[in-house]
Amino acid sequence: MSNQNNEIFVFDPKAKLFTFILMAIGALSLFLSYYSGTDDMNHIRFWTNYLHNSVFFVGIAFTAVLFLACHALAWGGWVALFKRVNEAMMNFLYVGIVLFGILALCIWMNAEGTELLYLWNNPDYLDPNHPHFDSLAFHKSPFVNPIVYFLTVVVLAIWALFAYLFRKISLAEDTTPYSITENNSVPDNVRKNRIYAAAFLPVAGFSSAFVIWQWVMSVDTHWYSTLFAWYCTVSLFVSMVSFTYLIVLYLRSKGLLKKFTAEHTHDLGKYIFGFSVFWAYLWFSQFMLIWYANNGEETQYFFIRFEQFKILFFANLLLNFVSPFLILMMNTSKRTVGTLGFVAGLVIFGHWLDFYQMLKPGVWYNYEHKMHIMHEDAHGEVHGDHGEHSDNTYKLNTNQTIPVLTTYQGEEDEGDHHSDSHHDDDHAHTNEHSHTGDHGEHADKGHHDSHATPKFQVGVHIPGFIEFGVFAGFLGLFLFVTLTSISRAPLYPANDPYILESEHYDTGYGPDRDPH
Amino acid sequence: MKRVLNKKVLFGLYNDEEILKDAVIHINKDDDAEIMDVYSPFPVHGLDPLLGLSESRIHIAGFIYGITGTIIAFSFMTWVFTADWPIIFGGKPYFSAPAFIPITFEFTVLMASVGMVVTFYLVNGLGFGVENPYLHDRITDDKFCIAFDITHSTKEQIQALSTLLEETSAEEVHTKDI
Repeated sequence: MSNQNNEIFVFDPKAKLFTFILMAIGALSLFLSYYSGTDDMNHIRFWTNYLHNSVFFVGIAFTAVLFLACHALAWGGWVALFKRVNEAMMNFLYVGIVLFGILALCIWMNAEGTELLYLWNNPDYLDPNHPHFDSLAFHKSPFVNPIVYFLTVVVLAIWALFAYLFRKISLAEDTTPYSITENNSVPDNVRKNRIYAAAFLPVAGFSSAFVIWQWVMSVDTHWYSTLFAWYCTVSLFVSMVSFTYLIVLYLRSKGLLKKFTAEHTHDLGKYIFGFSVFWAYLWFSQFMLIWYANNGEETQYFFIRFEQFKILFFANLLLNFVSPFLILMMNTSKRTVGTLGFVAGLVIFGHWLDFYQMLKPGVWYNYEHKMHIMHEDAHGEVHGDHGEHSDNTYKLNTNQTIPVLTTYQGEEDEGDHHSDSHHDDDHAHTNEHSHTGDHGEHADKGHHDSHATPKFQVGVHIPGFIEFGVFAGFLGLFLFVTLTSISRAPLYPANDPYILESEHYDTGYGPDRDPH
Repeated sequence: MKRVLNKKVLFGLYNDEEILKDAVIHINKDDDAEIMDVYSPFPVHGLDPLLGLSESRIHIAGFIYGITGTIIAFSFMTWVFTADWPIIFGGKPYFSAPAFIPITFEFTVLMASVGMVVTFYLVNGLGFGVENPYLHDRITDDKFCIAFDITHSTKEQIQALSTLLEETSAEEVHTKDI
């Protein structure tokens, strides 16, 4: 047993300051997005940024637990060398409890803007006697409501409990070498670890789906997709592996983890490559079935993304599938530090954008939905069941300062462009004269078939400075928590039964390997 | 069809892959001894670099077959559904790329896998009805074998090689014409 390398990472003040600067940028960006105005746009920007980054980083912490549990159960010893990195990452779950606790509380108290973040959080839509009654949201309200949303925090607490147990067992190794009781060839701590891992996997499988439905999918309240939870989890898993690798690189630059070789790099590269392909497989399965079935309730998700969020739609595929697939296809590029580091960074950004692409258009739809209803109210139109809005007869209306996605057709008034601010709360007035006397045309479906291009807005159609600022803030928080946790324990788990296997790990890839 | 290589081979049988690897390292130090090949019941980890074998190029062939399959499948479906026999499925346009992707993918995999198998068989002289010579029955069971080509060797050289094999704790040393 080689005990000579009791590597301890020191979180030096310079790095600490850097994470604090990132956090300060994030806090400033969040502040700006909430208080730069009082209208809906700023509120939804605040809440989507908050939700988006919380989901992303908490999800990474969760998949780190999943990663360790899978390897514990599958007897995968090669991770032993850098398992302390993953063990540190999963400590972000404690922060996650706070983040989502705050969010759930705000939703429960119906804070301003949360009714746009989650359509189901608007009491008007759920009241059968209200003119804005939304039958689909009402139908789903037993599952998507503020009380059930609190359960996601409970799920987070369960995950955090498992994370605590895994880390406790692992850290105990450093002080007490493992013992083998009679009738059992497996060391006690390893056996215990495996039992917890076996308990965790089914819990994680079902609860991650539940949590993703609540956090992400219910933003598009009218929409559903059965494989959405896998799609999100894989997205998070790829980001987690990439983060692991980048943190390992950082530690190596500090002269630590000397035994981390090209073999470990190679396998992390395989993970990034393989799960990127799996991500693309799920993305495509979801897309093609929805596209082919052409069921309005489902199609609205891709319709709005394809029509209004083209950049995100294609950037998502380019960053998360095409680039890692082509760059990491060769074995040598999986083993090259620079290439894999570059791809890891690219993929983290890509999956962050993926979550942006899942959330923002949904919230934007909720916003347009509200604008549309307000607009109808202003003109005294008869309301039908708003569940109808989920069919696929959307039409984009050109002439409004706020591009409203409508189900009704027949309002076009050439040359009537308003220069008013987008943030005009009372926008119905700005459009008043463009709609008078048009009501007779409502039956005339298909009369206008030209598609309008909605106004391009930074912060909606692509992430703006505020979005990147919030990302930087959460990244700073995540790095702070992770690096602090890493510094609390020796990096080299000298008494892990798998450590020698991990040190001598060999993927069997020949040429540049030294024959011993 | 029986293949005849017209070779005289000296070979030693080993019990374990670790002994085999040590033997290969030992033999590599001797400049006069050039290993013809090593046979084992299963792939031995770390043996390839010891023998100085370069990475297989079969995956390059696989990539070429795969990309051929992609192009054939996609262009064929495009031709069928837009030019030759256009049919409207579910109100979709004739050229519906998403619907072509699963078949394109499957055909790519089919071409790459079948192509690689055929290439592998051709390169290695395997295939139906080909009977290849073998050195010893137990090579496919539990023995590891290091073989030397002694077709043009002198008696002294052969003696030196078999001493070398015995030095590296070979269980048995034989010669065979194949």
